[in-house]
Amino acid sequence: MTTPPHDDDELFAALKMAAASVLGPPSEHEVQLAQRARDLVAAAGVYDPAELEYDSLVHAAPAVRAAAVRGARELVFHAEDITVHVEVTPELLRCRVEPVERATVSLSTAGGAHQELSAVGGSVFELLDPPAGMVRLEIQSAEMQVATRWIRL
Amino acid sequence: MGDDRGLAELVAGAALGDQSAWDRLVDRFIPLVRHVVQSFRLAPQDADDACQSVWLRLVDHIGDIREPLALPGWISTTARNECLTLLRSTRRSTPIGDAIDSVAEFGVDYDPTEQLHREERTQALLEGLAELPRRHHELLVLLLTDPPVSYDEIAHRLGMAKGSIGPSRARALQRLRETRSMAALIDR
Repeated sequence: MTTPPHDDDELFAALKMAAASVLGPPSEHEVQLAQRARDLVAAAGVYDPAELEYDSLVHAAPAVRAAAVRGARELVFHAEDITVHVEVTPELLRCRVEPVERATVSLSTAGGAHQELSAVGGSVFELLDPPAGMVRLEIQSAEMQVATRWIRL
Repeated sequence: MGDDRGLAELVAGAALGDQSAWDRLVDRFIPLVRHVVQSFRLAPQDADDACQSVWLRLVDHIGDIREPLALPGWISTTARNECLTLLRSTRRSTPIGDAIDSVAEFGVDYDPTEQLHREERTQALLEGLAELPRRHHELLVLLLTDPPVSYDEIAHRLGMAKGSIGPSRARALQRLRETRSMAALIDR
């Protein structure tokens, strides 16, 4: 049966069965996860978003995509005034912010952890052993506060 | 009841950074996200990761949503994609014996077509529930709660007469049938 029942009691029973495993009281852990989700909107409003324009895992030719799967992945994000080029391997995340200006760059994880990248040149920043999972880069200077869209490393 | 905003208003509010609208959206869609993620039987840490990823994607794209009533479908699809991404990355390192064991767990009576239909129906019901106007949504969630909530308690919490619970339930179920998600199920 794919169509929903016409009888109210049958429909309610089907709904009850569907909801049985997901409408129960949440565990302490689930409450924490939900709270983390609720906190996201406040954090999102602080930054201007930098849109993902290029991801070698998605946009590159097959041979380059295969290389990206093996380790070397390139990403480009663009906001109104800046472009962020990212190159990431399991060992190193390197990003270049254009145009060059005095800025700090930090990496934020879905769990709320922040790690500041080391400046290795005027506009180049690095982080050793970047975490796997959902992350975003947050770029701050006197003139701007920009965050890349969330991406999965 | 205080906040009686519909899905469209909640989406619009959340897009503007309204914390209470975002909270309502999260509360409303947690069961749907839980359901989709649970169906993939991921490791607990991966399941948490998938759930959180859905909210991160949503907060990133909430301002781009043009059709709020399509949000339940968008959330289901996003949750599924996040699970598949995690499964793909896990499978690259999963020994083949584990995969065979997990298939054997289903037993000889396992019918993938029936399972797929059941899954579609369950998902459509949960998407439809999330799509309902707040009043109907709250009533049905209270009626579905296990252990059951008494009619006296429901009447008190929703500020309605006890005698109107039955007719309201009938109207809520009719609205559920008319939701976009349930209509899509009938069209399949």
